[in-house]
Amino acid sequence: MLEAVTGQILFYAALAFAFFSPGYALLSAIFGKNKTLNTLERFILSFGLGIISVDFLNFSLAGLGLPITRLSLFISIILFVSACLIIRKIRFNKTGPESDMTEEKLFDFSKHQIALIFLLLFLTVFIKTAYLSDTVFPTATDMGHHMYWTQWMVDNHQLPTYDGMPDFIIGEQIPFGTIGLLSGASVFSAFPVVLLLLVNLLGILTVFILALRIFKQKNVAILVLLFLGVLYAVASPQAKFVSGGVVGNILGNLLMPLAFYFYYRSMEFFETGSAAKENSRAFLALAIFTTFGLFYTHHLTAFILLFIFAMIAAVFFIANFKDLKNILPALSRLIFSPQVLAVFFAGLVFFFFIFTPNYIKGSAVNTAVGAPSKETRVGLTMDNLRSSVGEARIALGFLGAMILVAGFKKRNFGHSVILAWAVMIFLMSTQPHLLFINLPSNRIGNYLSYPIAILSAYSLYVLFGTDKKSRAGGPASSGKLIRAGFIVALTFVLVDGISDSASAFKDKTDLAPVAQTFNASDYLAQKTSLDDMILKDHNYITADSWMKIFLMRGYKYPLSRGYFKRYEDETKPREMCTLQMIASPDNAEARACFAETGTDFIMINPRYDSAQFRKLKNFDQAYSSPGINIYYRNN
Amino acid sequence: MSKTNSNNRIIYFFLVLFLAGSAYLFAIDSRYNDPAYNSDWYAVSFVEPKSDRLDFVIENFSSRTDFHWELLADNAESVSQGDIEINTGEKKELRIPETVSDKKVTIRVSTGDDTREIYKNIKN
Repeated sequence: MLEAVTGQILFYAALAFAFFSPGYALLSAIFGKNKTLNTLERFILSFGLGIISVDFLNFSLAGLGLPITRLSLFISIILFVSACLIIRKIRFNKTGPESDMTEEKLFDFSKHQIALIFLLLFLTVFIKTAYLSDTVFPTATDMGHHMYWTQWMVDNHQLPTYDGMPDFIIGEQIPFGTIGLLSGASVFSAFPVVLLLLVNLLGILTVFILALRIFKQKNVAILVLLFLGVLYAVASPQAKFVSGGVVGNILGNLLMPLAFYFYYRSMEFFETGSAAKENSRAFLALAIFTTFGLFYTHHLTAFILLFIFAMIAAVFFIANFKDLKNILPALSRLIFSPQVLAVFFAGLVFFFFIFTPNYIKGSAVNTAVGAPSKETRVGLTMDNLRSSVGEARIALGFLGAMILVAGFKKRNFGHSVILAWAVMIFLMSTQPHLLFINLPSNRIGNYLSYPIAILSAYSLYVLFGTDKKSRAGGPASSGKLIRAGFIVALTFVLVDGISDSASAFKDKTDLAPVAQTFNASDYLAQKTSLDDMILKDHNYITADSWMKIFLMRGYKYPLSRGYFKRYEDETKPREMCTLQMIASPDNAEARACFAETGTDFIMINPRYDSAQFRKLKNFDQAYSSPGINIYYRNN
Repeated sequence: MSKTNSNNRIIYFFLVLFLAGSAYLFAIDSRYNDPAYNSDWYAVSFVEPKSDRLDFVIENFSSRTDFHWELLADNAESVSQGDIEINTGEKKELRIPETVSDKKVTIRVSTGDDTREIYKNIKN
């Protein structure tokens, strides 16, 4: 009991130390205590910036040839935080703290608003935690793959090499490896899920402050908490992705809004017509820093960000076409400033000379661009989108987009961001051929819920807001009619959003299959060596991807019989040995496969695959439990 | 309500929620090893899967503790047998001193109506 409590305290201490403190220190070094950033914003932004800072600290340790251990991480984070605090002291002792009085009111929530924020936060955390309580156990395939590399990093004290595979990206493992090293938490505990939950929650809060800054209406931001936090709290890409270990997407949905926040703040001066301030350059530098962090974390999100960015630029320049002669020089002065260029070139040096992501070396970029090569890549239908984003949310989101266009503030860079964010992901997921995108459409569609939630919040606010300004785009109506309409709309939204979450809850999870897989994996870890080759089945064994963490003999060890449909996929021919060796272990092809691969242990679910082994004299059954049989090939 | 105060309250409230939710998840994360959530199964395995030795292990995760085992020859004839008590969550190793010349030797373990088997095809 005491050990468990100590472990948890160490975990929380590691979270605060590794992620919040570097991010907070970085913001302090840049902005001091000035009012450019509110306390709540500093807290929310610190986490994402801390993750990226720790990424770069890990790259630096690796680049210097130093082992990545608890001590080296501890010292490097302490040095980074100390350096930031010294810079802050030097900079702001000279100039004194800045104060920007125009920011005072934006975060001044009333008692009712605070109560509503508390309620929405409570419901968000409660629904997600309730769902995760049935799914927190180490069973998800993707999480198992990620945790293998996390354990590899912890065991080997260096950044994962991925055996040359381009599908993994270093930024997906560093946060877990860092916490694993600092706290000693086991990858089989709840720590990976809890860390992803925190990333998910802070991603939602980042969207909250982004909406607050862009629309400058507290109620729009509060409604964002409703649409993104409470409603559809379980559906992809929310709690289901947390429990499923869809690490890249969860981190991407934190870092992309974070990048948008900084880009927006850097362009905020256009709204007032003033010249770019010192803070604008700092925000742009942070935006570029965050963008590099995203490129180190998830290639799909980074790829999507590039497309969105192209559309943001197009929307903003077209909207301000008549004023380009003023905007372009201002932008030029902003971009070609020492702070921005320094971060940009430092990022490039890291990216190409110190630690280059695997996907740049591999063919991931080439395979993402081109005509859609599979049925799953030709685009989502509206029905697909409705089930992916939620019926109520997509209806209000489309309405919100129209309202935003109708009341478009061309000088507000944030309006361009929100519109481009929603429209580009909509196009990428429904019409990929127009943009020459060859990626699974549903994976892109999962990103749509974030901008759609903002637009839904905006439309609900504009349609039913109590002040006349907020109804600028809507018809004049009486107060009663508005209230009645609001109640009808809110009921529709709540019923749809909450029922979506309710349907995702499972019956009580049967945990025996997990325990049986781990017991058999432990047996194999003890009874076999690197001279043996193990083949296991992915179709009928629960949590089989976690087996490799018991063995730690390479990412592709043990061999795995994958989903049957993959052997029939004509667009991606693959080896057939893993199929043959289990399905027909005595036929000529299988015998050749056994000789070629050296496979001598086979782990299957006896309900589906035991009969073919039982009749063969060259297979012993070495292990038996209700869900697992292990066979040993004895010649 | 002052701005700083209200914002700090949001931060503290969020942290309390996160700590409470995550502490609960940590508290249940090893439930798959808890007999209350993972009962009624046991595993039988050979101590040395690659040799001709027949020593075996029973690991008990079920609520029953009384196990019966049998060593069966190729013709299903019982060569030796015995009973053993194994508490829930424990495992016991059984040594089989017999040298069996049959080609296929099976270890059959049962508790209640549940029976499990492991076997070896002896080479010499």
